Amino acid sequence: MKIKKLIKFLLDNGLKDIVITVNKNICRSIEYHNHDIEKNELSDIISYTITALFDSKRVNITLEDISNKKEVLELLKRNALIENDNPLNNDLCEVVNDREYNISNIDYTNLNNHVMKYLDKYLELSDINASYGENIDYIDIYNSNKQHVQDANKYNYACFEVFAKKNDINSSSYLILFNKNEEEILKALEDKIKDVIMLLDVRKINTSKQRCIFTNNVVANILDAFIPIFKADKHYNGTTLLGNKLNQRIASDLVTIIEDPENDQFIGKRLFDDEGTKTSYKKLIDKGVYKIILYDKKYASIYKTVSTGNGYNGINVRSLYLEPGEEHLDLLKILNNGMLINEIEGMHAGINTITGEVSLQACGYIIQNGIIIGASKLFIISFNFLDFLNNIEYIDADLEFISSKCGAPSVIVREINVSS
Amino acid sequence: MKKQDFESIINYIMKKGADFSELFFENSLTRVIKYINNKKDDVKVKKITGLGIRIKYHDEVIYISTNEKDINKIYLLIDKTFKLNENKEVKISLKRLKKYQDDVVITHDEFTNLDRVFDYINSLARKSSSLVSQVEVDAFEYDQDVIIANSLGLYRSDHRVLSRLYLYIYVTRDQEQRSVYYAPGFKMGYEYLDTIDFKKIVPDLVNRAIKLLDAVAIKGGEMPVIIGNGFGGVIFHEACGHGLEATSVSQNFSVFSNMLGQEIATKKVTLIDDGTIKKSWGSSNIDDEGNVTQKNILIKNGVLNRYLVDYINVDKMKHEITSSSRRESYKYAPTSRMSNTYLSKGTLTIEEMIQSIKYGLYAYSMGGGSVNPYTGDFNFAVREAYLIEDGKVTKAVQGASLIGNSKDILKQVTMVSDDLSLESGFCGSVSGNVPTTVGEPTIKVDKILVGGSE
Repeated sequence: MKIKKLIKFLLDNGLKDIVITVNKNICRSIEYHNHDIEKNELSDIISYTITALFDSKRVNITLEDISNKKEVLELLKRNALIENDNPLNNDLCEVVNDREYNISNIDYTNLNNHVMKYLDKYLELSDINASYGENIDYIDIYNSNKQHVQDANKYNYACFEVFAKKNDINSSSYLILFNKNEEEILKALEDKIKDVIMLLDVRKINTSKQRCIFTNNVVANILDAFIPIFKADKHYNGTTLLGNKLNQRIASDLVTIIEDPENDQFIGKRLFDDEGTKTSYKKLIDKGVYKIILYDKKYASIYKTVSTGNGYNGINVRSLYLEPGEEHLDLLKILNNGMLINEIEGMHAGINTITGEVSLQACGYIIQNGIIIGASKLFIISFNFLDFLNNIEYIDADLEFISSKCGAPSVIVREINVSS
Repeated sequence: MKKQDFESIINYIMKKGADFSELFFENSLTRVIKYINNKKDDVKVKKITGLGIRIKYHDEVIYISTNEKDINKIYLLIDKTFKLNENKEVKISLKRLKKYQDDVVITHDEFTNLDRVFDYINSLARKSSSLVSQVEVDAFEYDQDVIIANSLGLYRSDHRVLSRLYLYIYVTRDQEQRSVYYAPGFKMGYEYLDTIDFKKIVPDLVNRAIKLLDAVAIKGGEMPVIIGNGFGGVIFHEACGHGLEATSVSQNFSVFSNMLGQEIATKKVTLIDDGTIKKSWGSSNIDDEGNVTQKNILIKNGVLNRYLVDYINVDKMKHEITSSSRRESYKYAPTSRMSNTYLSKGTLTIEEMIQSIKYGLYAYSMGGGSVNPYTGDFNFAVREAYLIEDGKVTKAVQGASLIGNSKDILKQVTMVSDDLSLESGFCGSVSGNVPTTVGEPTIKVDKILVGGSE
């Protein structure tokens, strides 16, 4: 087995505490423009992340070709530059999930034909770009203590870009869905089509403070952007807005934020992290109180604690979400008057994780007396993330994930600055 | 991979009946060395090696990315995705390999003084003010070797080198923390460090961070905005750059589709995309389809002059190729993308612009942004801004977003100064993240929506 031979070769040449993480990814996607296949993509890629000690210094490299062992050794030696001040425990958890997946040969033509029928049903629609695909990840970790763990994950997805046009006005939006059946896909897409058509006829709103519904995808995107504030490296470096706030109330007591990577229902399922630490269910915020800092092995060693199973070549999360409410709510009726925000843009630049400030382009609906009376777009919502968490008044039961990392249900929040 | 391997794969594909095929072989090394907490903290190295195979058959594009080395397994991947088998008679021979490479004075391997550079920057920052609570410096090194071959016989290689320094300074006062960020990037080796005057830049960054501690919230709304030079060019990158890429134009998914020759901006706007600027972060010798890069005047005195078009879209758009095809790595099919995109300079001064505004914003330093090319709606973030009141710059303002629509905003640019500069960044789109620069001289936009939290 080439990994074990590589480990032996590296040990024989002076390296110690070797861990090799093998990630194999296979991804297939088919993109349609109307009824024609426009793009057909297949990706089959394997990568190896090697961590080790050489001459009492730590090294971390990721490679896609390990066939030349001498070259691998040279690269490791040349980049062993960090003092091993805080030795790591490189033991692996005892988990083997040897599930085998295959890329299926699903023919998406039938589903796509149903999708394209919406072009006839809704005359304002000018186009739908659709892509469908599957993603398989295999992960194996080996170490120089002859331990080995194995896991695999598969999910499918459907992604749409919907375009509408009326006179000189264009509107469009994206939708991405994971592990949904055909009926669920068609229903969600039709809802999105209606949203896009509503945006052809928008009203201007006044700059004001508003009580708002934030739909699940919007909440998930905001939560995803603030994941860094929970990480141990940010605490250690003094660059998180949650510094000195552990065990303090930082949110409404409705708010519980959970990470649950073991959950089969979620596409981010992983039994162990990329360092071989078992993942676990944990509450980062429990009824408004900040409870848990996320650690990988490096920062667990610095803080003299144990890894929380969040080591993904740096600290990261899988299947993190705002705990949903127990029952579905009529949020429009509860809100009564305000805005429903169903789309935000500018996430990579309009978020400041040091101050918590958020300023984003948004679009959505105007709500009066519990009814949607019109749509609006090209306005800006501004707030502070901690104020957002404190101002959550209601949480729906409609949890959805936007990625393998993050999900959320829809919420009602008071006091959002809306600029128009 | 050898020349005969490239020829074998291309002939295999063309024999099956493809109209066109292209191979992109890549071997690249990225290294990031991180300094924080007064010491070297981490080194991450990533070496990727793989092959991207692009096949065109009528209107369908097939793309396969793999780091499989066995040619028979590569054929199996091709058969799995391109099922046609016309068994055509073909014999494609590649031309002689044409080699390109970047000129580098100090290679990444040769430079061993990073610790001293960090200590110098760290010391300059902390001596500037006792409020400096953290200094982070990340040194980014990128070396890429590519070989591109296609069924037209093209066979070219390029050795590309990029270097960038990320500098983050944090100040803290009474538990309130603010940060500033400076990240110059170059198509150079470590000789780039000689082009940066740290003695001037670092204390200036510290002062700017301290001013942010006193930044006030403003009431949002439409107002005139002066957008600073350099990274302020992100307004053009978002407002029209993406809308001029063939990716969206060819399918009529851009507000600027079918508008060549039309006036889309004020006469003060001349927008250029130039992949040939020496040593510039967004430049390359050849694009990722193997074509020698060129300077493209996209908008000339307000009139739409040219789109950015890659090989696949040339026939669809009946437009000349512009050598703008780019991709993050072999894992992505290439498409038309920006390189170094900038507004050409005007003649006014910043003082003249500020004096022309009764109440507005001076957006001194910008963050990134995004755009929907179909609607033209765009946004970008402001990292540092100041109020303008009665023709004078007054208080620092908490960071905000600016949003607008492409078609409207280009007609609101009424003043352009003479201080053109370009700054580095990364642009994300369908072919992945690619290094780009954006640039402009300081400009005045008569009216744009500013987000506020007062």
